[in-house]
Amino acid sequence: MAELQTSLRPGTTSNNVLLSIQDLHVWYELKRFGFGHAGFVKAVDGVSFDLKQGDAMACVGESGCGKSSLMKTIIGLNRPTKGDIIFDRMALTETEGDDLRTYRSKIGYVQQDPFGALPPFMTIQRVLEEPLIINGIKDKTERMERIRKVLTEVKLTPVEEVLPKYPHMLSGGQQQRVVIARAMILEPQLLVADEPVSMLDASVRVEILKLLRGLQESHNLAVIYITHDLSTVRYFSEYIFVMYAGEIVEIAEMEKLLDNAQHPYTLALMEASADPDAQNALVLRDVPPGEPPSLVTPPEGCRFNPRCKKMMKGLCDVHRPPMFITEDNHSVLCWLYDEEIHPMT
Amino acid sequence: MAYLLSIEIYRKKFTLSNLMKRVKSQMETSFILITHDIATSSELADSVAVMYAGQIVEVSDAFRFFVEPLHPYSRKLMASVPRLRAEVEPEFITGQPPSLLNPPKGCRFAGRCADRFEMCDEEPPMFKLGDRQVRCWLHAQTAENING
Repeated sequence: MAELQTSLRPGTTSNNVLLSIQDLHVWYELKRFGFGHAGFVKAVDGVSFDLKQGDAMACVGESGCGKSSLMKTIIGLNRPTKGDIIFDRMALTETEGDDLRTYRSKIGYVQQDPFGALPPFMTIQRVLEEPLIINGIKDKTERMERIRKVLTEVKLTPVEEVLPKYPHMLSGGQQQRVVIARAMILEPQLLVADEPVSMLDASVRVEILKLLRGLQESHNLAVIYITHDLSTVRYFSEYIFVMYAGEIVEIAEMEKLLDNAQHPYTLALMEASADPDAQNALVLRDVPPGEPPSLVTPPEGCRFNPRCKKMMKGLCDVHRPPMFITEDNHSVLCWLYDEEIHPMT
Repeated sequence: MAYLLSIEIYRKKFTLSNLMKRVKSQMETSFILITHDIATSSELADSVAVMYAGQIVEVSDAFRFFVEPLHPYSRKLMASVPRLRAEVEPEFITGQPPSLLNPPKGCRFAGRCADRFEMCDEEPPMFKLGDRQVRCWLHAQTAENING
C-alpha cells in the first residue's frame, strides 16, 4: 500500500514540495435527537497528493463529491478526522493558536461568488486593509503601499479611483479582481481558488483565469483550482485530479488526463462536456444513470460501481480498488487497470 | 437556461438538456434560450441571435454560426470559449461593454473591435446576407441593407 500512496503524488521526485496531503479523511458526525451518534458523512475519505511550489493543480468533480470540504480543510477551517496536511513544513494537526494564524496567512482563498464574498458596507480600501491590520502591520503608509501594489497587480487601475468605491459599484469581473487582491495581499505561497469564474460572464472568465495564471508565474505560487468545468482547465494548470464520492479516482498531468482519460467516471465527465458545435443539438448526451452515492453509507467496493457501464460483477461491487499506476504521473482508482485481470490494458 | 447554467453539475445540466431536446422534438415546442454560454447554446439552438449593448448584432442559423460567426463580437466570443477537445488557447475581449446610459455614437462594439475602420463612427444598419443578418460595416459590400 505504501507504494500506491506515493504513486498518488506527481511531485515526489522533487524535494520542493509545498503542500502534502497525506491520507486525509474529513468526516462530519451526524447526530440523532441532538446527541445520539447517527453515523458519519465521509466527505473526504483517504485523499493524498503533493503539490510543488509554483505548480497549479486542478480539482474536478460534481458538487457533493467532497472538493469543498477538502479545500476548507486545506485552508485550516476544518480539522482532519484522520491523516494530515503538511504545508510548508507545518503539520495542520499540530498547529494551534498563533501558528494557525501564520499557517492561514500563507494561504490565499479566492471565493466563488465575488459579490457574496465582499462585505457591502466596506470600501475596497477597507476590504484590503483589514487582513493587514489583523496580521499586525501597524504603519498606515506601508499598508497603503501594499494595497496599491496588489491592486496594480490585479490590474484594477487607476488605483485611487477604485479605493473609495463600494463593491456594488464595480462590475462582476472587477469584484473578482478585488477578491483575488485580498487573497494576494498577505503574499501567500498557496492560492486556493474555489470555482473562481463560475459566476462570471463568458467573456470575462478567460481574462480572470489568465490573471490567476500570470500571478502564479510571477510569484511562483502554488495554486489549487477547483472547478466543475473540464474545458477551462487545459490552459490553467499542470496537474489535475478528479474526485468522486470523497475519493480521488484519477490523478495525472493535465495533458495525459485530457488526452488519455482512463477512469469510467472521468470519461463520463468528458463525454458530458460540450464544445460549441451545432451537431450538439442533434444528439442526446450519454449521461451516467443514477445519483452520486450517499456519503454516509457509500457502496461496497468501488464507489462508482452502481453507475458504471464497465462494472465487473464480483470484483467492483465487492473489493475497493487501489490506485493503479498506468503510466508516468498517471494513476487511476479502477480495477480495469489491474494488469493481472486485464493484461492487455 | 440561466437556471441550467447555475446548476454546476454536468450530469444534471446534461440530463436537463437531454430532457429539453426531447420536449423540443416530441412536443414540437419552441424555445427561446437565454444564455451567456455558447457551448450550452449549441446544445439546443437551431438559430442564434447575438446581443451586444442593447442591440442584436447577428442573427444566424446554428450550423453556419458555430462554424463561422460573422460579427467581430461573435468571433471574439467564440474565441473566448475554452475547448476541451482542441488545442486552441482561449482569448478574452479587452475592455468593458459601453455604458447604456450614454451609448457611444456609431457602432457600439467599435471601441473593443480589432477590425475597426472609419465607417464604424456611423451606426451600422442590419445587413442581410442571404438568410443571415449582421450589424457590421465589414459586410456592407456583400449584403443588402434591410433597415436603413
